[in-house]
Amino acid sequence: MGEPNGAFFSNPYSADSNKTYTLITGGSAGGLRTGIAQKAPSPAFDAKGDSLAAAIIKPTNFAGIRFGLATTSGPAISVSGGHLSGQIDGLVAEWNKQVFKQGNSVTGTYSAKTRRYVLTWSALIKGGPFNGFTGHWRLQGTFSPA
Amino acid sequence: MLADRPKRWPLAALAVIGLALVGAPFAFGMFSRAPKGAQMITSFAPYMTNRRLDGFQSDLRYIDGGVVGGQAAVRALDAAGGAKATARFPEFVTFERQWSAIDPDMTGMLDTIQANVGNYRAVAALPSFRLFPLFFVIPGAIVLLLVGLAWFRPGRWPAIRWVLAVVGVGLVLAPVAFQMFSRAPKGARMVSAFTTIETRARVERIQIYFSDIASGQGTVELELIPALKRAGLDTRQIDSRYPGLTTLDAQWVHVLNDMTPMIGAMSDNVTNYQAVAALPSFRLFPWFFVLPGLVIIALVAFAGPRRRSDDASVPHHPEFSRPSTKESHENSTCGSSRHHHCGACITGSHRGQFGQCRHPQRCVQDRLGILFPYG
Repeated sequence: MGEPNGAFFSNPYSADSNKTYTLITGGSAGGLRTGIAQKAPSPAFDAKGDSLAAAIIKPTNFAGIRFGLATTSGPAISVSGGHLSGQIDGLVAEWNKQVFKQGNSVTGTYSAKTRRYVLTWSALIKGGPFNGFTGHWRLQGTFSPA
Repeated sequence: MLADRPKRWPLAALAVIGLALVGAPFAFGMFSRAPKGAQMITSFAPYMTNRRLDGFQSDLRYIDGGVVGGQAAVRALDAAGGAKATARFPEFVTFERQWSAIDPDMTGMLDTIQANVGNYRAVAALPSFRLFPLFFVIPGAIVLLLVGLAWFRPGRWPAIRWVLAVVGVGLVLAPVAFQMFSRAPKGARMVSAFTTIETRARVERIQIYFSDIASGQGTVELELIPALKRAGLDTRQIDSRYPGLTTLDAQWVHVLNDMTPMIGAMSDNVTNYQAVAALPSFRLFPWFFVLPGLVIIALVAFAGPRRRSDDASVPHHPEFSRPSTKESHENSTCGSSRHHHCGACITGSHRGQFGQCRHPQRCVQDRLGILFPYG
């Protein structure tokens, strides 16, 4: 996560040796689904503030509290010549009983042969304790048709 | 029959006051700024209590305790030999240095905020900021309406002037009723105190502090405490020797739960605060009501009525009908070619009991001086 001063937030609980990267893995639904919303459960948090939104990613420790991802609307992604483009407008990151909009236009690559994809996007956080910070996202995995 | 008519210049002045009252919220941008002020007051409500602010001060003490405990732990690990601990825990050393700047800044900020809890309460006890533009516009519109009515229906002036007087008295009493004279200056002090706090730069600095603190806490939990365990200490011994470390570890989630919403509220209200700060000083607000109110009352009093008799039924009083030498001279010319001296005689005077032509305006003013002190 980029800070307003250009530095990056160091997450000491990251599994990566570079703590400015926080590694995430697929959740109970296997990952991000296009076309449908993967909404957060209700309640969305436990008493501690850990996110209970576990469908897209496995809630992951960020500075001591787990964050999860949810979508409020179905992502729309298309492929053309191995290039991905689309919108994940409704993506939200949920952490510490707070919700941060993290949707935006996405771009990426897709291999029809291996079905492996990479999606990247950035989203400026507006409002709240991380106002002015920017979430930089990279999702990679294997595409599975429904 | 008597026709009570207001003097024109006080009516014109009343119209100016009415326009000023209606125009003031537009001139000061109140319609956009006041709701932001209301939003700020609402957003700050959960945090502007001594209990909550004491909690934030405790959060800072937990972090400070963690730093002090960490310093002691690093020294102990150094003494135990091996690689120099300061080299093994560079993140903690960095955090220790950062904390020496963060602690006084955050503590000072919380002290300032806490010193303004009473001022905040005073402002929050005022009517909602959203209503403030209407407090000007509504009386201003009423004044304009009444002035217009008096202008085109001068015969209704006796009733209109009382309504105007009530509006004036209402404006004078409103700040008293809302305790603005005590509360508004406190609001001004709060706005002044927050000048250095509710800025984008300051809030961003606090956000970065948060990032530094989160990193430092992670070092304590994920590096220092495990290193102490590797050095042979169990959890109870660590708690006994370095209570600050274990307390920070235990309280960290609480600190996060506590502080991040506050940082969010501070961040979300920077523009709201700026809108409030751009309004005229709160100290002036009571006077924005009282002064127009007093002026309205005075103008209503000055406005008359300017009474004009249009028949000969004016109650006779010897005091009124006794002309001065000058009046006698003027009245003696009534009906003569010297109309400019006694125009009123031509149109609205009557011949008094003793045969003198009386100047009706003068008489009415004298009488009103007895009946209606303001007039």
